[in-house]
Amino acid sequence: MKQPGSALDPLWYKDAIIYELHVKAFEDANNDGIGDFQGLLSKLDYLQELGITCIWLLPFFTSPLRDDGYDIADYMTVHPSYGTLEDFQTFLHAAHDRGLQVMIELVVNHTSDQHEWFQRARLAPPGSPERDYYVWSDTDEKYKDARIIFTDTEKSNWTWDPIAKAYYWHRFFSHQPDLNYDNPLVLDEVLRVMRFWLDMGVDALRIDAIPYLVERDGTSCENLPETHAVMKKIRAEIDAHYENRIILAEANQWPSDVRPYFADGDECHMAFHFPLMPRMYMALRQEDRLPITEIMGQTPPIPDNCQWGLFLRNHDELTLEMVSEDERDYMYLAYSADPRMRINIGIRRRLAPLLDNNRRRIELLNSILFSFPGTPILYYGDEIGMGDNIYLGDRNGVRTPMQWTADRNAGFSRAVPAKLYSPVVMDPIWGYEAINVEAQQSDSSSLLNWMRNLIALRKLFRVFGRGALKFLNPSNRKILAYVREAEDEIVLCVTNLSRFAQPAQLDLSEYDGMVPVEMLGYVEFPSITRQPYAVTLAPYGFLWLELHPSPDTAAVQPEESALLLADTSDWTSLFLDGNLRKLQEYILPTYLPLQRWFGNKSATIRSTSISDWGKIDHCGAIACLVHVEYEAGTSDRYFLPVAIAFGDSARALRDNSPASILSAVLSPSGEGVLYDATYDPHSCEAMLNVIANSTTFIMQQGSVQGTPSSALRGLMTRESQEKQLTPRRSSAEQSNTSILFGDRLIMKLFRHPEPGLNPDCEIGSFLTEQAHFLNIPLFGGSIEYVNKSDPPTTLCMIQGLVANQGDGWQWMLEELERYYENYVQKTIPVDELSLPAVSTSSPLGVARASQFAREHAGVALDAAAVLGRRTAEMHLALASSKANTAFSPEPLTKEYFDNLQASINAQAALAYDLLRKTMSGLADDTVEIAALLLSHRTRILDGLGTSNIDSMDGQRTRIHGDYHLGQVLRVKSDFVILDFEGEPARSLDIRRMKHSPLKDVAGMLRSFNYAAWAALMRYSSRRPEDQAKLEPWARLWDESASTEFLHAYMQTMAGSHLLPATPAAQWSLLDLYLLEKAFYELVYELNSRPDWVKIPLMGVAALLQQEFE
Amino acid sequence: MAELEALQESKQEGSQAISQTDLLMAIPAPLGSELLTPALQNVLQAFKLLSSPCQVVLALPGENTQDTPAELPQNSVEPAPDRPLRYVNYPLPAAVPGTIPWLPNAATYREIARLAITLQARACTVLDTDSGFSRDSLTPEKLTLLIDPGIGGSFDLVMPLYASLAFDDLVNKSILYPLTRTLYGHRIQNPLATEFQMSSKLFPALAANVVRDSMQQGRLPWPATIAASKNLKICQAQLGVRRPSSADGIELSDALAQLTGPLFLDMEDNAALWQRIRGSHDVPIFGAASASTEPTDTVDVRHMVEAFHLGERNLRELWALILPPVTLLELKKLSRLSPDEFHMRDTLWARIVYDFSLAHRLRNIHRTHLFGALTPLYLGWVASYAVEINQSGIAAAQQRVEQLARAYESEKPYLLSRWRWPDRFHP
Repeated sequence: MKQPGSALDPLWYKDAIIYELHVKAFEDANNDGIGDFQGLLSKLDYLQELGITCIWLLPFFTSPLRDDGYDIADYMTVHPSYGTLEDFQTFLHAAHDRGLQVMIELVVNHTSDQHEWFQRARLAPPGSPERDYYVWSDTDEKYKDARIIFTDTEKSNWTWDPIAKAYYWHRFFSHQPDLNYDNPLVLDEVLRVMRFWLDMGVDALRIDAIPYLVERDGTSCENLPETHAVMKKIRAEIDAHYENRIILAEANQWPSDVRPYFADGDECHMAFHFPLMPRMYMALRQEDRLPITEIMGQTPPIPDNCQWGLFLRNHDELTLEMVSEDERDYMYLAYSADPRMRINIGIRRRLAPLLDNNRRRIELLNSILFSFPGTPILYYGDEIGMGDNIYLGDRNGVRTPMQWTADRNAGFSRAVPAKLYSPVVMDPIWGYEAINVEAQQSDSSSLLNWMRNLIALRKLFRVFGRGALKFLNPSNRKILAYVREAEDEIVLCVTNLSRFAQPAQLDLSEYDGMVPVEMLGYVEFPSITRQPYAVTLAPYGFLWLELHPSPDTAAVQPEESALLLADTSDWTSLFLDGNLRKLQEYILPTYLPLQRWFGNKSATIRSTSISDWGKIDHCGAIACLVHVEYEAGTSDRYFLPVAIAFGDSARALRDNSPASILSAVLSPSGEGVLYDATYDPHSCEAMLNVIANSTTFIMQQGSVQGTPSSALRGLMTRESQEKQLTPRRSSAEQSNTSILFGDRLIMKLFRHPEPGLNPDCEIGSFLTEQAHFLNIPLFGGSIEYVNKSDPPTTLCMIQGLVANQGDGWQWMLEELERYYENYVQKTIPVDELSLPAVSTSSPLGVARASQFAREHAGVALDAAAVLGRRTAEMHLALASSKANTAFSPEPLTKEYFDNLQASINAQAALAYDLLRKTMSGLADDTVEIAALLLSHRTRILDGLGTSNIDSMDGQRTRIHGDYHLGQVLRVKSDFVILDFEGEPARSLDIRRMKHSPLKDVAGMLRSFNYAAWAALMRYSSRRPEDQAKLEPWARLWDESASTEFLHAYMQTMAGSHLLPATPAAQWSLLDLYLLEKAFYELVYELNSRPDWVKIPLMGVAALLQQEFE
Repeated sequence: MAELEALQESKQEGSQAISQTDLLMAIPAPLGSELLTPALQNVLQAFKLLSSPCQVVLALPGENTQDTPAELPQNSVEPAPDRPLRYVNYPLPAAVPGTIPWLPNAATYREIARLAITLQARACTVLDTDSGFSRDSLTPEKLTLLIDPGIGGSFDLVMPLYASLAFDDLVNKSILYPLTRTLYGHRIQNPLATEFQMSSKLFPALAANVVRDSMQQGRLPWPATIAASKNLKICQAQLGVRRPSSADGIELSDALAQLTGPLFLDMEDNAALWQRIRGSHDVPIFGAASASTEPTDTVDVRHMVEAFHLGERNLRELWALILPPVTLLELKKLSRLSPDEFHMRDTLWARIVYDFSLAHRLRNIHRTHLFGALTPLYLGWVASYAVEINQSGIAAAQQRVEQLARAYESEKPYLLSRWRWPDRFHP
């Protein structure tokens, strides 16, 4: 009868603590000198008390034991030395009764040569199914590219079998022939074995030597697609017939090669992270976090239902296969002074001896093991710091009997010592008399008790098993600091890898206001601020700090913040008395910072108040204007339409759009929610009607007026695929919220409305109704708020919806992906590597991209040219009215240049300041450029600017203002220009200022540069080795796209007087704008995306090249 | 008696035959007709007061109809139009010998929850078979308060709130209420409920309440803990004065073990939950508080103080396995005080309870001995409370309990630090 496993949670393995043991080494109940299941059964209380949740049993099947049981002669019986099948079942049930899971080995890459399948195969005729259970060959020349794993004992992966008169394939010892998965009968047999144990109730299977299941000529015979196909079949069998059972893959490979074993979450549940293990020892010995952070940086994300298995030591050698030659040599020198400590490609020692029996070092590595993303796996005896015996052969030195007491045979067995399967460790330091469970149980300061506490602590925090990992980069590299984050749990871990006390300054500004609480002792630390957070750690010390919300935000409980509505038809009571107080004091300060459109996330809110509100006509929604004051003394205003829902509507919102909900609303007829009305189709339709019908509705302090454009009627009734103007919320929410109406209209809500004309509305209206520039979404109208004290405020606008193939940024990135993929293996000609210097005596836009560039990036270059032309047409349209003073061109004056200089200087100074502070955290390849810039700081700052320019011919006009590839839509082979709002963080006055059109040109040129390098970063994150090869290609693309853009732009602008007339003036002005933009980007990236800093840094360096010469 | 006459026509049905159930009303112990009849009268009256009519099934303990009292109504009645009251039986697990008779039993609640799942009930009201089944204590109006917030409103758990006298319910006042409030953040004044209403969201947890071994057969269900762990909505209903239930023949240490032990066990299971909860908050209360007119007794504390002194002399070594030196020192100082000046600080008492909960988890000493060791300390706290409260009235007693609860909360970091890193080398 099929027995269930013991786990109830399908993701149990993510929270598990796995304990690896060998039955023969744990406890001997029948005193024959060999551990057995009855002995193990008697020690379950010990394991339960230790706190582990899953027992991993090394092979216990019938075997000649020439490879410690990994040479299985019968998969369905228990080796008689360990007991019987009934003994195993008794043990399994007892473990399950204690809530423990049990994992066993599925060693199915190979069998023992004593297995009946092999004995049958060697006698069977070649080509028969029986023969084909194994991999045979007439020569030992097949699969030459497969490496030999056991280099100390095996010279070839083939061994001649005189009975079969053929060579058989084996990746491990010659007595372990590999099974042949090309024979479908083999998989049938494996599934039969698997079902046998799973039916018994076994919870997990560790699949041994998984990369080697299938062989193919011309390959390394590792990680082949056919192997994955086998694994998928095994997984499918488990999923089809069992609940909450898992498989753990043993694949000693690089993380990127192990990743495919997780597939789409439908292959292996878990896999060991082999390369991390030696790097933990390396980082500790070198007192440098780099080995750990580097390998974690190379570790790709895995599906949500998958997990890494982490370990410090196991039953094998400390493998050094997944390190470089130098690293291997270092590890040998650092951790295996005696050559006897080495075996194969690794070191055969236990945890405590490796760390010179230093308790703090043992604790430190365990702290990393237990706090890194993955499931920790303990090796038996390491919880008491057991030693090893390097004088025993093979890896038997780390497989000695468990040391229970100081009695004879370490309390493991009452047999005569000579009868033991292995001598117990007996030397004065590591011997059982010094190190044993009994002694440590009675010593409250023992390693055993420390481990028990640590295990219990980890089990309290799901974040360790399930949370994301983010490294911090303190300048002191002896400090390893990282944040684990999942749902409502945030844990900061700080580790000192050094022998000496170390200071560290951590950038925790993201957690501003939170309170760190030391997890072991529940000790509250000072609150986090935006300033670097200083910690000092003792030698080999570590801190685990859970980050609590600030007491202010944590105090409010849902029941207390729920709004109370006595009469569901009278919503005005929401804005009165107690409800108003809850809204202003609790609900809005909590809700607003969580919204994407809330701009000032880094500021601390002092207070919120509803400055005005009014019911929107023909719907239940209420338009609110919320005034937010910050601790810093500044304030903002936000537009927030809200509505209330009860019953099924409320439930649907809770289930589908929880982010929309501001608060619960309690009423006698049940519970409802107050939510953002943009999630309500009726409210959205009502707002559209306010515009279409020129409706005015009254607020408490002012009124709201809708105004349609002359184009709206046409936009609403134009031919389209969707007959209805059904509203739906766009997922692409940033500083504004967009509502789509069918495929015809898009309504943009300005969440952060300022008094005055919104430039998006103003320019959209001008280009639609006056200049008739068609390469924009046509303007349909707007809603404005009017009161006595301020100028009208635009709350939202409506535009025509443009069918498109994505924005220009995404389109270019895809082009670049193809470009890099096509040319990664090709070398760029030498003459293309050094592009001719552009002469500032040549007019802007004269140069053209080379023939070579056109041949290799033609599609993108054509697009850049189209974009250049459309940009010029936009600028000409924006300057087309002399009568409208908001748009009429004006001369470029000295005052303008003075302001420009001040802006560049301020931006540069800010960038330098930030660069200096954050330099230690930058990537190695970025530091070099940063250092160059910093070393020329004074010269650059002195030389910057416009001091040599008094005035220029050319004019300043209204421009786009925030122009880059993300602001244009690719529409067939053309572009449509979007979003004239300017940078939302700046004031309306600044956003409405007139500039030379070259400012937009500079924005787009920087965007081409960004696209080229961002796409390269993305590409090389998968293939780091190709980065250097592709850099010249990136430069070529950037230069060529810019050149084609400029050429088309200037051609179209020819004859206008908007730009300076002389080439030198054109170049000077363009360079100034480029520099201003590049410094702006640098500040942004330093604050937000340190990994991207290199792009603007290179931009600044290129523009200031002459300063360095 | 029209309702009762109508009830006579009700008929018993198998649970499979009942297709739709809004509310399962469960009686967790066998009752004689002298209790059942008036109680059912109240129940029927209560149905008429509910804000929305519902389909009700009455669950009575017993395997079959033979277990049903003869007086039980044999035909359907209509508490609301087209919604007849029906009843079913459910198997009543055997009582665990030596337990407090009025205490609910995990196995009984498991059966009730399973029945509720089978019937696909929206909610289940468990009635108190001890004091609740009298016409005076559980009136139709109070029953309505217990039922309505779950059926008509959105609450998943409605807990009773009793107006107890100053010296009633002292285990609850000194341990159960302040400890559960501190652990789980809900100010539920009677967390060990013998009558409550729960929504279907609680059924699976109660139905799956695993009895791990024979020692835990009597393990108490804590619906409020389950609701807190699932972030469900909880409220309280004012059910008036509840007379103390009899615990005759039960040793105080056994009573402490049976009342407090399950809460300590729950602390182990829910450690990850309660360690994340800071502070506490009010739980909505329905109904008006009833002012007790009964005078507050005066309690002679001499016997309790003597018991404390005796404990301090005889159990010192045992206490030393559980309590840190600084606490032992304070207890030693207390042992020198006369009954009149006897005063145990709330924070000291809170720490003692926390240390005992930790010892319970770590199994420092056998659990039977653990509660034996707690008993004189408990009597010391009661004596201290009595010295303060004697003749001060119910309001003063309530304030005193609130003060104690705040002390528990202020000492919660102590519990966390002890729990997370147990170390004998503690101040």
